[in-house]
Amino acid sequence: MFNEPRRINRRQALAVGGALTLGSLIAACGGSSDGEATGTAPAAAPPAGSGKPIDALTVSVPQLGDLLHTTRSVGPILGITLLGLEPLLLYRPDGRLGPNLAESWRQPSLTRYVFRLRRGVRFWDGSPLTPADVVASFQVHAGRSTVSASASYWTKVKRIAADGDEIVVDLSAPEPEFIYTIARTGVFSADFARRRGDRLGSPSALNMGTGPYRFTGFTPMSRVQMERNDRYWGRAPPIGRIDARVLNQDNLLLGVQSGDVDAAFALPVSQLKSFASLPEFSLTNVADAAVYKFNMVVDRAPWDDPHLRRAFAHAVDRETIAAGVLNGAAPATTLEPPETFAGALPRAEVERAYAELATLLPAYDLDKAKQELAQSRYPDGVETTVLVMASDPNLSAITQTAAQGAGEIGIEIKVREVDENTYNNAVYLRHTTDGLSIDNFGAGGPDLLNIPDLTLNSSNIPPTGFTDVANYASDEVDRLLAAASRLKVDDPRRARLALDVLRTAAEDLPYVPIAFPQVYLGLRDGLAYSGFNAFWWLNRWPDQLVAQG
Amino acid sequence: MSVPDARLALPVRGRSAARGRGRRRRRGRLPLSVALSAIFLLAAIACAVAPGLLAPQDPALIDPASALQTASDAHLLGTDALGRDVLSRLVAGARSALVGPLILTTATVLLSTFLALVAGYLGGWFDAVVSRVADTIYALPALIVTIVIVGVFGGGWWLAIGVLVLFNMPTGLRILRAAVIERRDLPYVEAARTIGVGRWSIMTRHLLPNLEPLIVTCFFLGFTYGMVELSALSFLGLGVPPGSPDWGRMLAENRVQVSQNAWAAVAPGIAIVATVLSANILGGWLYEQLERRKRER
Amino acid sequence: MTGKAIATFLARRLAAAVLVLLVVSVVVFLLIHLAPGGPEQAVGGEFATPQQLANIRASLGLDDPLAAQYWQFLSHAVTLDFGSSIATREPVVDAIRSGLGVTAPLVLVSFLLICLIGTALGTLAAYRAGGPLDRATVGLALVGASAPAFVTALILLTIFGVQLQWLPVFGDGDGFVERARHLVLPIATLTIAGTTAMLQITRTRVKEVLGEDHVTFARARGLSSRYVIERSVLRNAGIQIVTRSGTIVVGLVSWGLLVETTFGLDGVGSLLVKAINARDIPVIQGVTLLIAAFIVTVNVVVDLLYFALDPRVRMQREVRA
Repeated sequence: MFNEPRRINRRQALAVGGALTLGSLIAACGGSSDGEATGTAPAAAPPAGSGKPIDALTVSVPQLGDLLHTTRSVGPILGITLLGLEPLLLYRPDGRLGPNLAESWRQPSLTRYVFRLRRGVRFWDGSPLTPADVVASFQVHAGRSTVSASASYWTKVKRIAADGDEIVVDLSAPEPEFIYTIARTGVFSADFARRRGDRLGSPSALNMGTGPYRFTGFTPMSRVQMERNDRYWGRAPPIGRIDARVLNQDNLLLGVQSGDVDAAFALPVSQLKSFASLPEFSLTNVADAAVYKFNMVVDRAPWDDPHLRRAFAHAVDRETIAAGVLNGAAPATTLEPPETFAGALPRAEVERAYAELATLLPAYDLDKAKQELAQSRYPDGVETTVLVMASDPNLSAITQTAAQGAGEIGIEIKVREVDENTYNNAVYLRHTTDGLSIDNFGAGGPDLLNIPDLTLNSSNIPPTGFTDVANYASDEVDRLLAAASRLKVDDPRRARLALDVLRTAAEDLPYVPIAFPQVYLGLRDGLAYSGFNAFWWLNRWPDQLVAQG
Repeated sequence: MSVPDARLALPVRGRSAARGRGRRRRRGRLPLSVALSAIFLLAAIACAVAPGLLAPQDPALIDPASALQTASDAHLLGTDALGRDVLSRLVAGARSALVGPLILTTATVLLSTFLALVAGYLGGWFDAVVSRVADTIYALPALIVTIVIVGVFGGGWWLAIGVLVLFNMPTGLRILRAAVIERRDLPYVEAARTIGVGRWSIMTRHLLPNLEPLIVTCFFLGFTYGMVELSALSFLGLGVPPGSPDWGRMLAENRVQVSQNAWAAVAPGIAIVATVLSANILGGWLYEQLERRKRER
Repeated sequence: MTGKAIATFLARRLAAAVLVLLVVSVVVFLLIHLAPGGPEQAVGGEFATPQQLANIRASLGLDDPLAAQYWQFLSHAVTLDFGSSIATREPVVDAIRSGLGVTAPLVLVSFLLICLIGTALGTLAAYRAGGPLDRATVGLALVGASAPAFVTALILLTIFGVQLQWLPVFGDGDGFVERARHLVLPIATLTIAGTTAMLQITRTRVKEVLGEDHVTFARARGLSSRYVIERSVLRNAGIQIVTRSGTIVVGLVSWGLLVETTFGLDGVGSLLVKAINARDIPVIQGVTLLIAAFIVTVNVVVDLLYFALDPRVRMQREVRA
């Protein structure tokens, strides 16, 4: 409603919070004691050698939490939280997991993980890091009385215990993605938490971690200030002070123009031309693990009519929207970008599959749209309202553009701007929209079944879940997803099953994918960043930043 | 906030000349500023009434491929972020820029006049209560209360209008009430009372016509307040749906891309200022004319 | 002027002020609870299950009868305890305090400048009534008053912040010097918005007073212009100027909010806007009451000054007393 700091990745945050309720995701992680799992991020060069150390860095981030704590850190918020409260494993830019606070780990069975804690690590106040701290840091997310926003990733955790130098986690059922959950969970001092109680994570109390950057200031949802931890156990932190801010879109552009902002993660796409035209600022982009899509609720009128759905799909000019409104994003033919499958399948196979998916999605053709509409129960068209939020101006821009085409065949779309709570309630939590809605859905993790499962699994419909916005339920798709969950995470059959899922769903058309947004990183001249990827917020990104010249 | 009292808008010269040195100004001479204001307002009204005729292109035609172009032959003021012609949207925006304040001000003036008449003429406890309430409302910050109410109740243009009517009422009430009190004991009103004319009759047929000049002034004054308030609200994203060509909203939506096409944001801003200014000048001049006519009587 | 007269006056005004605040508190309290959606949504957020929402309602006492909740609210508010923000768990008082660190200098400095520049220019223009300075001032004032604060803000921001890059354009800055730098443009915006009003009223009143008998008389006696200004003119014009400045301060609160939003300042205004979006009841209540208290105080001060400055009012009171 009021123009607030952009929270474009709030949708990602929601996706992360969505319940992963697959029947059983069985996987056997690699057998080596180094326990590396392959991710799906594009391979990138390892961090460049040291340039000049950076004294102070002002960086714009898309989102910050209302509490400086792991229970309120999901999605891009982790990009800051994990710098102070570090995880046991680090997700690296090349897509692999590496040791961090855990010097090694192993998986003796499908439901048991054992992490060996590094010795000699100290919190910022000098107190030693112990397995008890790790247990407490995990326990806060698991359990029935948890208030953590990440709670849904810990639902299968049965037991967390310390055993000497090791931490043992037992699951009630196998879940190969769990290892990524470890990579997104920060460790804090249990003692400090106990003493601060309710005020933990507030601006007055902040938090206590072991990470390379110590928190020195916090304004909820707005700003986090950090200083180098000079006694960090690992690689020397290259930056002296970090000032991370959430800037509303206007102030971000102005801040960059005036030189106050050094780096900006996830620049708003709507202003790309403005940023691109700045002389001393350069942009890098990669495909984001997200998709803009229209959702059509398939179990009630009028969108339960497949002809109406196809008619609408024919009326959306995806190419123009992707090129014009989203500034050169790739038009989407399905729910996740082809880059998701890089490394899991041979490139040619992925291209073939995506070519086929492209034929399944109705192309922009107003004549065909009219024909489909004529065959539906609503030959004279329908009237509907689509909700949008001010915090993501693309939603409104895309809907208005689509409305223009749809209006020509009789589907009248009114755009209504509401506040975030109302939007989330209607679109996600309760599925109470008119039937047609738009959102930007982001993957919660690097796994290629993340988006398909969240959006197509029938168990993700209220009340057991909420990310299947279209209320899509298909026995065939559920069966395919269940089969995929019984395979190893890097088994190519699993990737093929994912493609089958996308194909089947495409025929039913519960969603009209529009475009895969790119995620942009902006840097002022004199800075370079290696290995930018869609999950930059899981990386230790300061180590990838280099001052040149 | 503080829009100046309309009559203060006038150059001093005319007034002191009229007072001190005899009437030098000829009656028919129209100051340039007033003429320009009138012309501008008429143009704005024309745009509001017939945007289809006056807009060079379709203001709603989205064309992302030509987004944010600078002024050219095809688009005199360039295009906005979705490729729509700025000039056309400016013309189309006149309607919401004028209609909102019009509705608001009409309601406000009706309310203030009614209350002023009843409270001023009848006096007593009603007057005391109304005056007290009006004073309290007058002291409150309109914008903040409006956004709290509208924000908490989930938005709604009519709600905003309703709240703003309440907030703008005291200004008119004060002026009109004072005028009613001034006039209620005048000989001709006394006379009417003596011969038994009813209260309501007195109020509507004797007092009201005399107040007409003041009411007109109040209307213009209120109109300027209304324009400023409503454009602030739509600037904050309240009231009008996205995509509608409203000047306040256009300003908010396009201000970031100022470096690419400044006109997309600056033009609506100038339009707002020009309209308010014109209303101010015209209102002040009208008041001056009506005052003069009164004095000559 | 008897002490008793002042005391009575003050007592009566304070009583009225307290009454107003009470009414405001009731209104604010009721308003939020009648709104659709409910406060528990903000706490639980997008991740809450219906069970969690119910727990939140219980733990925050949202299921108690309204009257009991209001009593709780009131008894705590008197001790400045507005509870903790639902969204950030921070005590509301602390959030307001840090917001005031930005808003207070913004409003106070702007007001000071408005008074100084407005009265100076207004007086000058009135003295040279009819001259080019007067006409220019009036004209500019009119344009200035016709431009809403957010338009002015944008223009200043674009020219000085972006094109010329003389001043920073976002945030509040740390440390005194930095904060001062960051507040220059916002203060300039508010000053422009408010000076026009101050200018208007000063000029009008001074002009009127200048035409009044006692000034002519003073001048005729050969008293210096300066004496005339200080003793007679400003004192007499002062009353209405003071009243108007009360209105201006209230206006600054509203416009300050828009300016804070435009410049990205973390002041009380932005705090309120964020709280409204998040349905953060304790913060909305705290900030609204603070604003109400501020306005009431301003009104009391204005009344007191009025009382002190206007001999006619004082004499009436004395006669009555």
